[in-house]
Amino acid sequence: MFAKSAAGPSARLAVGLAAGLAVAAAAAGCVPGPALTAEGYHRHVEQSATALLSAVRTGTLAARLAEEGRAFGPALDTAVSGAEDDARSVADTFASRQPPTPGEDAVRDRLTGLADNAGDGLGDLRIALRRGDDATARQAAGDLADTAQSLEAVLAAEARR
Amino acid sequence: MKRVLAFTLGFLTAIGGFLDVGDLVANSLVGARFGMSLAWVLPVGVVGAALFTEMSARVSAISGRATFDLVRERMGARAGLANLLASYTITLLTLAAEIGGVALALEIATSVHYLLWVPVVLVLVWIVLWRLPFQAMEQTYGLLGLALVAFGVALWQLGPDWGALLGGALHPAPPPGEDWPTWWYYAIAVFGAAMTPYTVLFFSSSGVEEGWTKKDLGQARTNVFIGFPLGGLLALAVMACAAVVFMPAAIQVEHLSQVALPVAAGLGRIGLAVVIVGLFAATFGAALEAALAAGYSVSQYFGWAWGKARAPASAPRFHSAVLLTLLLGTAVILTSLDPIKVTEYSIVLSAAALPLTYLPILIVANDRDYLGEHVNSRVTNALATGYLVLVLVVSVATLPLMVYTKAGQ
Repeated sequence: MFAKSAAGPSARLAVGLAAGLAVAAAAAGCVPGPALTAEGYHRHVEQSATALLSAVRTGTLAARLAEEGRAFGPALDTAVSGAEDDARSVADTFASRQPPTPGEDAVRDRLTGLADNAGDGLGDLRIALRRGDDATARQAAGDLADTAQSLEAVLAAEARR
Repeated sequence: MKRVLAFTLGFLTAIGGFLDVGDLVANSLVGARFGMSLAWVLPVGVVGAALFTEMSARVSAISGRATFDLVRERMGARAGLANLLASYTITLLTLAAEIGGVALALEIATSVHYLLWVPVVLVLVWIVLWRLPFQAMEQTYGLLGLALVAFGVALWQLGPDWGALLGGALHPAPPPGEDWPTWWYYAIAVFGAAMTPYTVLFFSSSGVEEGWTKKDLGQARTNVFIGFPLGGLLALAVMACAAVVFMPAAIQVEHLSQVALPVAAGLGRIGLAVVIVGLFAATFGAALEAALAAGYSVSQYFGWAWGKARAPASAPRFHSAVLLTLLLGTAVILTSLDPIKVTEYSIVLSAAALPLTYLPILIVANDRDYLGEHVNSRVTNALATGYLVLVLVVSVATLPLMVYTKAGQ
């Protein structure tokens, strides 16, 4: 069924494949370039709001699990710290983008504010969980829930565009 | 008892295929983002991985030699080198990701930063590889990995809408807001994670380590046909837990620490503790598997004496290759590259390089000089050829999809 033969070009093929994979991985891993159009900028707004909402909701889930006594400190601390890092990373990346026209300034200001709220809220929650401060953790969870609601509003507005 | 433990090698191997750090994150990420619409990829992966692993187990049991030992002999040095380069590179990346995964599991348990755990993990992996007998290693991590059953129990406790889960699984299409290219990109990621070459390398070489003969074919098949579906079922439970807890909350999975949260939601602290043990065992077991697979592949290609059961003095180059690969993997993670990103790329690149691993296995498994009457049946060949076509399509589509979707963003 299968012929016995040494595949001569296979080694060259493997080297080519490896080089191609490395280039593709590098290209795919690159952060998207500056937004040149309003369309591109709004796509970036949507992606950033989605990522922020995910980080914020991870925080509110962790807060709920802590309040119900369903998880222990280190696991929640690790999850919230990861979410906080994600939120701050999204905030930095988003803030570095310049809106292509003044028409996008309002959405930029709104999302920049919400990104700051997300990072700060997750930071407050992390500190409260580490200290075992239930009241502050509840307060931080409430703030995060408000931020999540505002992020959903941004996403809904983007979807209507 | 021996019969009860007969599947542990298969389950440890299945951990590499379905429950290592790449699978855990990929399945949880996919469940959170696409619900159960990509669940069909797991059975496709289980059948493919079991098919080719059984083939290589048969080669080991009948010929007394590992599959990749024969690949070079049968296909020549150049084709063997292509195979070695592809599988070693992917195995090294996978090992780096697993070392990071063990460190992340320890971070979840202690909240000490994972980079501080990485050197400790290196030492632990090396001690186990150096001191623990093969069978004890296989049974310890195979059984501890079963702690991941907690995902299945948690899913039950979460009380999901089973009809909706099944409906999602039976309607394979992107959910609203997601596009087809991204959906296919993640289908390839889940498939690539299930078919990683190092699991086949590990299993076929383990058969030689354990001295399988024709009489052990039954046990080898038990390992494959119980261990792999069990691994696939647990992977499905991980995906379903994420679909139930994360998807409605619009949570995207980026970290191993998130993967465990649905178990805490379903089972509380005890369940969380059990699942952390499972995460540790699965990533640690996969690290052992990948380190050995790297040593096996290099040693078998160059014709060196190899085997974990052999004392370092009688197989020095094999043990050096394992140690060197461990050090390289550790160095990759200590650069502070995100282990989850490393694993995401390794499983997708693995999908691109699959034909280089699976075609030679199929060729050797059809060679009567090695297998006599135990060559593949027509049914096996038909199924395997179908999978090879699939694997070729996947390998061609992977890179364009990766670039087009910006790695699934």
